[in-house]
Amino acid sequence: MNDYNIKIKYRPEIFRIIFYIILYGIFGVLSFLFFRAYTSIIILVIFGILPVISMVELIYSSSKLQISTYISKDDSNSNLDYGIKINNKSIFSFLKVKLTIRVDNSFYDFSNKLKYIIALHYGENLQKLNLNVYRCGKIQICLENIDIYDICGLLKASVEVNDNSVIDILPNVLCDYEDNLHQVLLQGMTDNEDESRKGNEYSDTSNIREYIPGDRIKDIHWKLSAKRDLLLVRERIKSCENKIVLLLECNDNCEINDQILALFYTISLLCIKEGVLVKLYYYDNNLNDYIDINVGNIKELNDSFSEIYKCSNKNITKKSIVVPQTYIKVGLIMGQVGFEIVEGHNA
Amino acid sequence: MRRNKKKLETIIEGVSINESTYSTEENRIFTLLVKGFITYLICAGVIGSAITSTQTQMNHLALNLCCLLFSFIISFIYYNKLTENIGDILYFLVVSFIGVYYSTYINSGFYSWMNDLLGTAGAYFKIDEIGGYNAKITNSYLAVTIASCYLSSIAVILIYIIVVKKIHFIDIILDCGFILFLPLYLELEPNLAYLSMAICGIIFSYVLNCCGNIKKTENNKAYRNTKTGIEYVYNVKAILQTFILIIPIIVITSAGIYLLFPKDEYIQVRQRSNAKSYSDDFVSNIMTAGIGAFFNKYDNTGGLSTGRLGGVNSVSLDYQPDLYVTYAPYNYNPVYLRNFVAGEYVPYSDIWVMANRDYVKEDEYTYLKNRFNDNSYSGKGVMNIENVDAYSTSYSPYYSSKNTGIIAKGNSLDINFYTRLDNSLYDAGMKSLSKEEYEYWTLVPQENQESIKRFVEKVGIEKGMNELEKAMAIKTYFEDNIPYTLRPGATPRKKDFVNYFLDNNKKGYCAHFASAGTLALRYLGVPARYVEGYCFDYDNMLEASIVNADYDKYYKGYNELSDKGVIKVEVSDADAHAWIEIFINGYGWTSIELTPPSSDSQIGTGNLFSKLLEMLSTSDKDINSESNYNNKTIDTKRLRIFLGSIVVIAISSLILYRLILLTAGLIIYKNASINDKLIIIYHRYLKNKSKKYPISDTVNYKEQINLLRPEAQDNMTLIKILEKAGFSNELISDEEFKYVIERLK
Repeated sequence: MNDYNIKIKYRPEIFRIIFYIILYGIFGVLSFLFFRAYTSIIILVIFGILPVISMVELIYSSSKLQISTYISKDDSNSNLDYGIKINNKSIFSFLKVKLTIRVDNSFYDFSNKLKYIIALHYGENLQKLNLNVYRCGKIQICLENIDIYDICGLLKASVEVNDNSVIDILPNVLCDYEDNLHQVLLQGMTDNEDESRKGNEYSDTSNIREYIPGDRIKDIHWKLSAKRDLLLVRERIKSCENKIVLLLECNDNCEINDQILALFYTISLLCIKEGVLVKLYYYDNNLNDYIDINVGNIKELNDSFSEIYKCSNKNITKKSIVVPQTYIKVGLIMGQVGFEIVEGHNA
Repeated sequence: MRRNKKKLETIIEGVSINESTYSTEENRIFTLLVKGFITYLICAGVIGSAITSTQTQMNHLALNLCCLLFSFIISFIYYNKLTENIGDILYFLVVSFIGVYYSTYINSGFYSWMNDLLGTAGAYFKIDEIGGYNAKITNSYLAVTIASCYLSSIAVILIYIIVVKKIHFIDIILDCGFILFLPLYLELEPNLAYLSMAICGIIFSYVLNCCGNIKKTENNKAYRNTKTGIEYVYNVKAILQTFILIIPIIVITSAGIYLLFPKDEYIQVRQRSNAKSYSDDFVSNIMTAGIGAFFNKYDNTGGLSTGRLGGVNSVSLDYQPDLYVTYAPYNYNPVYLRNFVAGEYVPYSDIWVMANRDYVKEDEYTYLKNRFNDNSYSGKGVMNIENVDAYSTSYSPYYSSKNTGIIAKGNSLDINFYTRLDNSLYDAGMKSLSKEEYEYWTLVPQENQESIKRFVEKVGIEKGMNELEKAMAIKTYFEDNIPYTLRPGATPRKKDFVNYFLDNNKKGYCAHFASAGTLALRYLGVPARYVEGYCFDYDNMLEASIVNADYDKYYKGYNELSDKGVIKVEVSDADAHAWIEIFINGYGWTSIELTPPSSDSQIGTGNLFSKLLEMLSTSDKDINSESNYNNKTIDTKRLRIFLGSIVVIAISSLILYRLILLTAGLIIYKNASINDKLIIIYHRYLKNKSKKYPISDTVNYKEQINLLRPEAQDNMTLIKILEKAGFSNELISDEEFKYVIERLK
């Protein structure tokens, strides 16, 4: 929950003031010309004093307001509760208070304003805005300003608030994929990587030992065995054992993009659950560079999505990029949302 | 066909407003009570103000109870669609039944109030006879009470629909204005309590209109979804607080005005505008002449009616020239141009009959003509009269031949006249009237004798007064007691013009004064006659254009003026006039002016702005003892009372407010959900702790709890429960509730 210093500007409601003056003028002229009754004097004085009291009340009370906001989401990740708490410490109430709230999804560059007209009574006024969210991204709810009208509607106090409440809406986990992914990903990534190896490269050799029956023929280090006259085999590091590289390829279509993100998130989550480290890759056109984030647990995963959301959907490249390792590309594959394992391009 | 109103459901793609945001039900009962109360205030306020302003007696408790009851009934009829549909019919049937059953009482009550109002209006306009209504029930107290209660049963429907259901603020002002217009116009003072109620109701409706939301009733929901967002529909707590604040403002202001600027002092300083005088005359005319008041106007100031009087509501002048008179002025006195000399007055026909030509002689003309060469105070002039837009008749100045001839429209005529500038009234050697002539010129119709007699008694004619002194006494009386006006109002049917003027209306223009004066002088034995024509005075002469003509051709003889020359005077319908001539033995007939000076401004001249200014300006005749007030200072005792009252009211209000808050708090707590109960308790806890801890510096539950319980281990759980209670729709469990309560203890 946030709290703000209030900056107030007072603006007269010209048309309503003119309307009031006309009404008052008509009665005043009628009173002066025709209604010489004492009653008419009382009416004139009351209707003359009322707007003054009303405006003074506004000026006094608007400076006494305390505004704070709150945002939360439920476990289903699809319901947002946005709360605006306005504490009216003066004894006067206001019957027209216009809250201007801007709602953004910065990831998709969606933005719109919402008017929320409320009445303020003495004490704490909590206004809730319950939202259904079905598109992932970074949701910003900004309470831009509060227009408070006096009870006669002649003066408006514009309170500039500009409070941003930000919350990340994570993609949904695709349960259907879980089983398939489990098999395909872990095994597939290993085999593919193994197949991509080119014989006697030491780059990913961790150790050399004597041959033990059962070792793969292709692991025998023939040159060294010849020199030593001992059958030696290379012990290789299997990248799938400690890290999986995931590349995100976004799409202009929000629906498809949501599915891509969901798949991306599900794969990441699955890997984390299996105890595998994940390296998330995406290319930020703004920075003109790869962004990679290492993720080892769910919190880091959620935080990484927060980072991804900071970059607009439009700024995440849609074309395949060169990654020096074998990686899993998540995006639109052959017209379908899916993933494919891409052989790394070693430098 | 009902239009589908657009609603903002999806704010941006992927984010929509959850229906729970605006599906909160309003506190229907509370809302209806508030709406019913507003209806009651307006209805009872306006009806009570109207009735009390005429001092009509009735049972106020009954009116207020009925109004309150009907307001709440009609309010609760609108509980939902079903009750509205059934309730409307039932209410209509019940009200109709009561109306039929008690029609005699209701009619009588209404008639009684109308009679009181008409009586008051009659007193205000000084009209003795205004048509009244015949109330069958003689007990007007009972009848007015029943009628007012019945009226309230109908008024609440109207008020409820236009004020509370749709908040048509202008409609309510028009409705209240319509009912209170006549009492206010007649300067009647309604009861202050009722007036305050009506003002409260009007201000409430204005405030609700300004906030702009309450009228948009929709399915009894507290909020509604619009195309731009969400609007609240009802917030009874805020509305109630506003009303609670408005009431003391009105009460204190009213009390302040009463104390600081009492009614008596206001009456002393208030001024009557010309517009008020004008409209008074007009309304008075309507009350006496009905719709004819709109049409019956006279196009001059009374001197060109050839003796036809009465039936004229007001004078409407065009100020365009009727005649151009070219002559050489010889003194400062007004110049009269006669075109009609009356003989007998015909009562109730309100007409002066043209005088018998045998009795209208030109002795004075002959006398002056004969002495012109002998007398140093004599003069002989020629007056050229050009008829521009006047009736084609004769227009003869004093003293010219009675056979001057008719001046047709568009023509002009030179008329010879002789002047009589000496003061030798009684040595003119004129003959006295014959008996026959005397009787003719002193004839007062039998029908006018009583009125004239009363009038003459009031004038106070003393024995031994000569003709001129009698005339001057009458003139003085007119000046002191009967104002001149161009809007005297028509003489009612079956009333005589002169009698009505002297006994009832007591205001008029020259024809009234000349007619009454003629008959009064005749009654006093002075031969007198009513004369009409044009009269222009020295002011007209000053405004006249100078004619480059031979002076000697226009005038010869004695001239009182030092500057001599020939001028051309413009004479308009505003200069039309009626005056009288009296016969003085030895001197002959002489003109006498009995019409007092006009206090009416010439509304109708000049441009629109000047007319408006003229309307806004105050009339001299009604400014009473203004100087008395100027010397007064505001009584300090009253000021002390006022300030003391404010302090007492403020303290009482504060105590009452606290009591209401306490009661409301208890009720709210009782009906609150478990979440709200927890939050209420938590806030009380914070309030208690706020003296020791800087609670105001904290902004959320976390900071507050950590501040208040810095070493406790279970703060996170506490905070989570509080946030759940405060911000989520999910209800906390009893265990969680107890958990927090125990920790807070």
